[in-house]
Amino acid sequence: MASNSWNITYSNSLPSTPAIEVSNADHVWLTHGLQVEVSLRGPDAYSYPGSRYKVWDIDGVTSSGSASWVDMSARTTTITGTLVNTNAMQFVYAQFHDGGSNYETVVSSGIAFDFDEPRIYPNVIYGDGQATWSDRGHENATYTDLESGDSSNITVRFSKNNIDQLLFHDLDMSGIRLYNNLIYAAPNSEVAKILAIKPGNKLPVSKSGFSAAPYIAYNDGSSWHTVTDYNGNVASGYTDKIANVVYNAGTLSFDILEFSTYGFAELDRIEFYTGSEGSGYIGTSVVIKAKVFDSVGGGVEDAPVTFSGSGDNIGTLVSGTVYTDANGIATATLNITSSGTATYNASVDDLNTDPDWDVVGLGLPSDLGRSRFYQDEIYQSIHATLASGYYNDGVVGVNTVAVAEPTVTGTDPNYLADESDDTNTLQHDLNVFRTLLKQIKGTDDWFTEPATYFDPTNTTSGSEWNKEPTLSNFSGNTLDAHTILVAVSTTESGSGIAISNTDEGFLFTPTDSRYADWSDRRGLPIFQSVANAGDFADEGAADDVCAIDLIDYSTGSEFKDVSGNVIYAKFYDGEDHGGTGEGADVYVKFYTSGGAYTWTASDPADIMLVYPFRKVLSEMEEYEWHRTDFINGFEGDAEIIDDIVNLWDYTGASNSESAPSWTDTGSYYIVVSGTSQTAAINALNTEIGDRVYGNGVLNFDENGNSFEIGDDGSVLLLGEGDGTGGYIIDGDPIANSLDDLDIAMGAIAALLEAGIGNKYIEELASDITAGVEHPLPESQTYIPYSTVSGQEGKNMDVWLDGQLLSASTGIGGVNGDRDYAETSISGITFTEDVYQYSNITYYIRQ
Amino acid sequence: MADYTPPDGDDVNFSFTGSYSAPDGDDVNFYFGLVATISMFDASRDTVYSGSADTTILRWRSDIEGDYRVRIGGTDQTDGYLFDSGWVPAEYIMTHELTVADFVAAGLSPGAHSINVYVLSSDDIWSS
Repeated sequence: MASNSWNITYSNSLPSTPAIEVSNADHVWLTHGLQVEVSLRGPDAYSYPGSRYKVWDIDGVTSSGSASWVDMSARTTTITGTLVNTNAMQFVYAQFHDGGSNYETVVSSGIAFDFDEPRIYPNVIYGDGQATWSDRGHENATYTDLESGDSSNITVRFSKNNIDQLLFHDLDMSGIRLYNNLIYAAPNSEVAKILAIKPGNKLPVSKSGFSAAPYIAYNDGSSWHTVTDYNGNVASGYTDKIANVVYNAGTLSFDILEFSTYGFAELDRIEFYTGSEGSGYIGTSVVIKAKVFDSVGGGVEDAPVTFSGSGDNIGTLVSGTVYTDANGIATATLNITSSGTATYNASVDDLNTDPDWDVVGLGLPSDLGRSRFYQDEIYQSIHATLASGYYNDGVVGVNTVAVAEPTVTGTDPNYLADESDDTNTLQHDLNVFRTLLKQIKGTDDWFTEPATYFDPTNTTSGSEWNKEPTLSNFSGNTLDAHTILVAVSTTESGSGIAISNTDEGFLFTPTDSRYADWSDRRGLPIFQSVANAGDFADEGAADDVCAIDLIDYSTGSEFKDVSGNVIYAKFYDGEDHGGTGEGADVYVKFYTSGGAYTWTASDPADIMLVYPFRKVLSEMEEYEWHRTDFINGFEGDAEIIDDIVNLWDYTGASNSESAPSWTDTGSYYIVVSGTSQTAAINALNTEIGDRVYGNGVLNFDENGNSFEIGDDGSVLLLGEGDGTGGYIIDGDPIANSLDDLDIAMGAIAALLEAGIGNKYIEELASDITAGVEHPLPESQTYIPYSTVSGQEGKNMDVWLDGQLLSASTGIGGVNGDRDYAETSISGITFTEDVYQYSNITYYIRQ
Repeated sequence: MADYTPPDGDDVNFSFTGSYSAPDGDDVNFYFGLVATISMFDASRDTVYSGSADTTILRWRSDIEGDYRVRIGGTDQTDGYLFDSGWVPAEYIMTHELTVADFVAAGLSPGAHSINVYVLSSDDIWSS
């Protein structure tokens, strides 16, 4: 079950109990007025007729005792009565009597009278003749009329018979205002919404005082529309606004179905409509239109409009009287039968058009289609010319049709309003031209003089700009009007072009193999062609144009023949030399100043080319140089500079340096500052000498060791009794040789050190027992030696009380055959006892 | 159903009764729409009798305007006996007099019957 619901019980049988109810009121509401209906239901046990009732607290009866008995013909009955006018809750009482001894008393539900009077607009008054809502019966009133407060004589009836759910209690009727011959009703007002509750809800209106049947006008908030036609019926499309329009003896009545502002209008004027045609050919029809207006500007529907002509009789109207359509427009058709000019008038009632409408009948030419075309053109041109005054000089923008559209001021009533496309007009074209002029000139508008520019051949000491930027002045001075010979270098993939002895030239395939000819000067300048003689623009031209620079690939420079003439080349038609020719290849023909040249054995084996190629200046790339800038020019200089810089990096020299500064702070330096590089190197060679060794003189020292004296008198070598040299190797680098010497000298130093030794003297504090190892004093060590027979103990001498002792033979003196044995590196073992206070002297060599 | 965008600064409160588990991978979309709130006033009588006291006055109002239907019996705005219909302004107290004759016209037997009011919102949603 839905939550928004009531539960109501419908019963066929009455309860047995008695009851009293105020039947036309809610539980607590009473808006119908003080007069109410009261339903009485007697006890079921009573007999009817035969029973009676009485009521009090109604109709001025204030107690049971003052109430009168009324006989009941049936168990239920309804009475009417009036309550007390008070805001307090009221109760109505009843008592039933069966005619015997039985009485039953009942009381109604509480009822409070509560009626708030409706509100109306200040300039609106009640027009129903009732002074108060009490007179109308409060909510019991079926209707009330509202009237205009002024002399508009407008009456609007609010009736419960016409508006479902209409209650007057607390009703806001101020949304409707009646004055100044207008019915103004606010669309969102409360009464407007109540009117919309049910289809068919209506608000009857009447207005008196008309001398003739008026039209009813309706305002939708922005403009007026006439909602009745010429005959007073509801006009097409407005049946949802009003209904039941009746005019009778000066009084108009109708029903408002939808709230808005309604007014009244009368026939006002008739005018020819702009959609009318002004000319036509004989045998064709033209349409002329007239619109009928009412006094609020709306078109009057179904009005009979009569068209009539004067002047030349150019044709016949299909119908003299035409009825207006829903927009108030009457359309007549005129069949053109003769040439001339006729003036047509349209009228409705006593109104006539002013001005009238001229129609021109045009004779048929022999060539109808062509004539119509030209006449239409003339017609268009005339209008376009006349309308040009409606365009100003402003230009909205450039480059698109949209932005090139003219800015229109005003409206041309004879032309623009009737045309959907005004881009086919002369004034439009003129404005486009203006736009283009503005764009070309680069000025703020189309007529201002553009700025001049500087011409070095036509100026003043003040560098005045005298030259106008006209196309004539530009002619011949643009980049694409001039050519340039750009230099193209090729090395044939970086390996050079191999040329053989006796070659007179070679076939070459350039990247762009176009030949410069008479119709297109771009391409290779061809000096000579046999197969296509005369086709090429540079045949026989000067070397300035045709010369190809040849460069020795190995040196990067030009080269000369044996006579000292620079060898260069020119392009010949490849087709004459075994090639395809233009578009594929070209022949490079060798030249010198003496003419065609044949390669010799003394010429470079590999070359590279820098050849001319003609372009127009506008096609020249920014990295392309003029060809004369290269050979022996910028490029050559640049290469030399690069070489020089490389030499500087290699030698350590710098710009303008002629006396190199060497590090020579002492006289013992081989190379002194200011010495040239050659002199410095020679000095180094001289001073360092050659690297052939072993040619010194063998010498011996006092110990029998050998040494060698070099050629320069220095001691070169000492060997251990060898003296044959060989410690340094012939041809070895000096560093290696010095290293060898260092090692040898280290060996010498070791030998010398071993030969010198150190002396230690020990005075025995106690006896030394034979066979017991005695440690060397001061923890000294030595290297026991027994390897070479006869040299035992050579690394250390031992003296006992001034007598030199002899070391025993065998490893560690194991044989014990002499004075002592070298039993360890830190001690010796005597073969006999040694006594206290003896002096032992050790001489340790190593 | 039309989209609903709360006015700036307004919150939207959700109130759930019971529970619902969407199938795996399914989204649950909440749709909002304007629904009329209808205020019902007490009927002047809860019982009408044939032959006497046969009228009860029913009053109600809606907080929004829209088409309305008053039906005797039924389960929704399309079901039951159509007692009255039309268009109701917002906050306007609508009044209907229901008589025994209306029950008879609806073909209903004596007994308790629900009188239901439905209002259609601008979001095309009928109140329930």
